[in-house]
This record gives sequence, structure tokens and C-alpha cells, in this order.
Amino acid sequence: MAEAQIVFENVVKRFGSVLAVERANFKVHAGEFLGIMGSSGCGKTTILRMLAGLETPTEGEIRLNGMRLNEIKPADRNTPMVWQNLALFPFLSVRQNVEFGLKTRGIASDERKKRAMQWLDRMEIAELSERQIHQLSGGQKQRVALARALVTEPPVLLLDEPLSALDANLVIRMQGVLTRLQKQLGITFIYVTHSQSEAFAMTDRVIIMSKGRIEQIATAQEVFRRPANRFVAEFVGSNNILDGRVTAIEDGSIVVDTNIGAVTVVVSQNDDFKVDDHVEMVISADKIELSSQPTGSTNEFRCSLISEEFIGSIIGLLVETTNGFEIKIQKPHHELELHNLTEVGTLWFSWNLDTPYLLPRDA
Amino acid sequence: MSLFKVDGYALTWRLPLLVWQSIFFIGPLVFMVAITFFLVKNYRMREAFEMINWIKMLSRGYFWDSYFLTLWLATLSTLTATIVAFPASYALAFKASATVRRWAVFFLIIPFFTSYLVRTFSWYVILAEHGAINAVLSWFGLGPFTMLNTPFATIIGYMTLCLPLVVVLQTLSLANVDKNLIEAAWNLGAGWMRTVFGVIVPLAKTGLIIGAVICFILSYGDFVAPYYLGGSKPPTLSILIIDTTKSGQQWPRAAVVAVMMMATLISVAFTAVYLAYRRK
Repeated sequence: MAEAQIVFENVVKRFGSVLAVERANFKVHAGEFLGIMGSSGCGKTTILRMLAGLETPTEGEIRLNGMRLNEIKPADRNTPMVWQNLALFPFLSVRQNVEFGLKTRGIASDERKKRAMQWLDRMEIAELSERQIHQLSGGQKQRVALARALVTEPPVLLLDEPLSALDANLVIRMQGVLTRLQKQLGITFIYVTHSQSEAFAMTDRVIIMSKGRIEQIATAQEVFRRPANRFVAEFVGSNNILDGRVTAIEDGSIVVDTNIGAVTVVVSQNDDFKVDDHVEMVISADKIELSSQPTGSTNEFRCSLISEEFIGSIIGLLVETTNGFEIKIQKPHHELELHNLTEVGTLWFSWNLDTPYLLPRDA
Repeated sequence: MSLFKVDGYALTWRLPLLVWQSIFFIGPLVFMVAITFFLVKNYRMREAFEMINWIKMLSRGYFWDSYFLTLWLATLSTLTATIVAFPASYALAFKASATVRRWAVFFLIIPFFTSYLVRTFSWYVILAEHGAINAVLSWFGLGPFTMLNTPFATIIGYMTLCLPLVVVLQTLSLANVDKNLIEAAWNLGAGWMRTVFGVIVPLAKTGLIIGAVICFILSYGDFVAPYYLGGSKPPTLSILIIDTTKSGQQWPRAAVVAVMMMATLISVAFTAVYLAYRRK
């Protein structure tokens, strides 16, 4: 099988005594939309900058289409970037900005103009071609930055939180533009963001980073349902994490003593649990059932409502168990309305036997 | 709505500057222009309104010799300072740490603590026929070269006056260039030359032009360097002013030269500031 388009092999980056990236190992396939996500200072931008050649790895090797990139100057890689602040040249017009990358490659003026106009047209801003940058709106600048980066037809486009400066409305629209563009062009997009919704909405796979370490590389679905470790489970935000100790092992299931009481969990044959083992279980907020009456199911607990938070069509609820432990629950708006759940004083929550996801024990 | 509505608050803050400029700049300037129409009889200035001073000065070849010499020397000085300063400023702005840059700016200001005249005379010792440079060159069997009383020495003098200032101004404007834009240029395939001249210079344009124009103004009006180092043959305009006042108390004709100098400087400065702040 052909090697992946981009390969990071044992890449380490240190700034003085600060370890920015700790032994990154991953591969990106041609045409993939990869997200790199994490809080600020986690090293996600450093990964992108190393790929663009703006930082040199301290150790390890980065390859693009099988070629070692480490020593190649940024100007000699075709890895254009869309910057957080867009970095458009204020002294050039819209068209001249787009032409810049063609000019550096020695393409003749007529051809440059033609190709720049094609891209501006594609980004639906052809009529703005002779404007100055300061005359554009945020969304228009975004499109210029994209056209400028894509005009050289690169194999990979690097995006460093390009939507962070836009208002919510525009973010959704630009997400659509980016996703469509990536599908049409079929080139690799590497998208750095701290926004989960952006990453999950657009990418094929995401890298979750924390303190320079790659915590998980997986699809959004997998990160969401099968987090690799406690950090990822917490990072996703809508997970409840229960610590517990195995108290009994039955056929195909274990009983775990947790902060909120005994929980029975179905386990696969591969999981080799012993009594007294410590386990961490993840229960997604959206997989918890809520009712105003006890239903008699196995994993059912009494609770009272602390707060509710309106997140569009979904309501985020925070409930408290009788022993004071807080649990996050997400329910569609209509379901709560139907049962008048938020009006009742005492509630019961429960989940199926196979709902809890047990974190890998070596994590 | 009145066109002459007075904003008392703004006026209060601007008043000191307005008063200062009126008393020490606009007033004397008007007076100087007026003098150009006065007459000198028996070594005394008389109030009059005659064009004779203008006609006499502007019809003389020596005036225009001085005028173009001064213009040429100031232009040469500006170009030299701008070109010589740029690599140093570039290194300070992009290659040095913030601490090194602060110290460098400090050391560049230190020469201004000493008198310009003293600094000029120290060049006299260095550039003279038996001065320091020729002494060193003679060890290699070279020279002696005549450096004093040449345009070369004048430019050296101008550099003493301007170069540190130009480096400081260039450094400050280059250090303010958005590093992201430089990286964006590399990222789009720009080599070193294109990044410097196609991105950094346009971004630092305002500071670079202001540095150049200050150098031009200082060199254009200076008389110390062309007089003591350049030998004043032919004289620059500032030396011509001195010569004119000395010969027959011709203050009105000196004023003509001064007004011509002012007019030239104002148009150069105006054009430069226009170019510096022009936004396409």
C-alpha cells in the first residue's frame, strides 16, 4: 500500500526548555479532512507550523508524499496556510493578494490574472477583485485568504483557526464553504481549531491534543463514543465519568461500586476484570434516560434537578443524586416538554447495561 | 450650526502648541519673507517692497550652483543613510532579541549627547592628510588619499548627523511589521529578496520614508559638515546664507536663499509625508 500523504514520525518540538510537541506520530491520507483540536498552548498550531516549515522539528521526521520535509524551506513547500488573522497583505488589492503565490512561482502576468480571477469567481467575490483589503468585511477577507492559498493548487491546505474571528452565523456558512470546497478539490485539509463543533462538523478524523501530546486520533464519532482516555472523555464535555471498583463479576457483566452507587455494566469477553479492579466509566449525557417515576431498570438512580441550559433544540440538564454527585443529561426539547420533566421535584435517571464505556485501563 | 463653533476643551489642549508655533515659527517666517523685499543702504536695512533681491539672487549662477549642489548632497546623504542603515535596522528588528534591540536604540541615541561640532571635528582628525585612516593605509603602502574638503567628507559628516537617527526610525518601523505577514509571504513561496522588498518594505514604508525625509531635512540645512569637512567650495545654501550676510550685510538676499530653502524643504517633506501615509 502506498504511504500516506503526510507522515509525522516521532516528531518532537522544543522551544528552549518548553516541550511544545511530544513525540507526534500520525499519518494523513490524501484527500482527508483532518482536524487538530485542543485548548490553547496544546501544540496544535506548532504541528501545523512544522508542516508549513515555519518551525523546524527538534527531533523526528515529517514527510509529504514520501519526501522528507525537515530541511525544505517554507517557500519551497507548496503547503499554503490560512491564518487565524488571515495575514492578507494590506498594501495589495484583493486580486494582487491572490496573485502573490503565482508571482513568486514566476507565472506570467496574464496567466496570473486569469487564475486569480477564476478563484475569486469560485469564492463568489470576483466583483471585489480591485478593492483594497481594508474595504472588505470579515467574511469577504476569509474568502480572499482561501483563494490566495488555493490558487497554487496545493496538495494540502493548512488552516489555523480561520473562523475564530467570525460571528456565529458566518462560521456556519464558512464551514459549509470549506466542506464543499474540500470535497470538490479532493485535496487534504488540515484544520486546527479549539472549537469542538467546528472540528466535529467538518472533519473526517480529529487529533485531540493536550500539553503537546496526542491523546487520540479518531473520527468524531469515535472520539465522542469511545474516548481513548480520561482527558478526551472530559474534553468532549458532554460525558459523565464515574470512578469505581469492581465488586462482583457475573457472566458477561460486572458490578462496579461508583460514586453514585452500584452500576452493572455489560463487558465484552476480551475485558479481563478482577474483583477490586479500578475502572473509569464514561456515560454520554445524551444516552441517559430520565423519567418522573421509577421504572425498575437495573441502573436507576434518584435525583433532583439543579439547572437546565438551553442549547438549541437540545436541553442540557444538571441533576444531583441523593449523595450529592452531579450528572449531566442531554434531552431533546420536545421530550422534556412532553413529560413536563422539568416541573417535577424528584426524577429518576437510568441507562442501559451497555451504555457505559469503560476507559482502557492502561490509559 | 456654525462653522466657527469653538470647542473650548480641544482648544485648551491645542493652545500651547498653537502659541508656540505662531510665535517661533509662523511669525519669524512671515518676517523673513517680508525681509526679502527690504533694501540695504549703507550697510543698513531699510523697509521697502522691492523685487531687486529676488531678481539679483535668482539670476546668479552661483545661487543655482549652490542650490543644486545642496539638493544633490542632501539626496545623496538620504540615499546613503537609507541604504546603509537598512541592513543594520533589519538585523536589529528581526534578528536581535527585544533586549538587544532596546540597548542598540539606546546606544544609537548616545552620540546625540555630544555636540555635533565636536563629532565633526573628530572626523577631521580621522580623515586628514596625516590622519588616522591614511596612517593605517600607509602601513600597506597605500595612500595618502585626499578625503578632507571633498563631497565624500561632507557625506561622512552628514552620516554622523543622520545615520543613528535613521537606524532608530527604521528599526522601530521594521520591528512593528506583523510577523504573520512575513511568514505568509514565505508560505506563499516568496524568497528572501521578495519578502524583504515586496512585503517588509511596503509594510514599513511610513517609518522608512519618515527616516529618509528627516535625514534629507537635516542634511539639507546643515552647514557644519560641508563647511568644516567638505571645504565649502562651492558653498551649500546654508553656507551661502552666511557668506551673504557677511558680505555687505545683505540680510534681505540671505532671506531670499532661506525662503527658497524653506520652499524646497516644505515641498519635499509634503510629498514624502503624502507618500508615506498614502493608502491606495
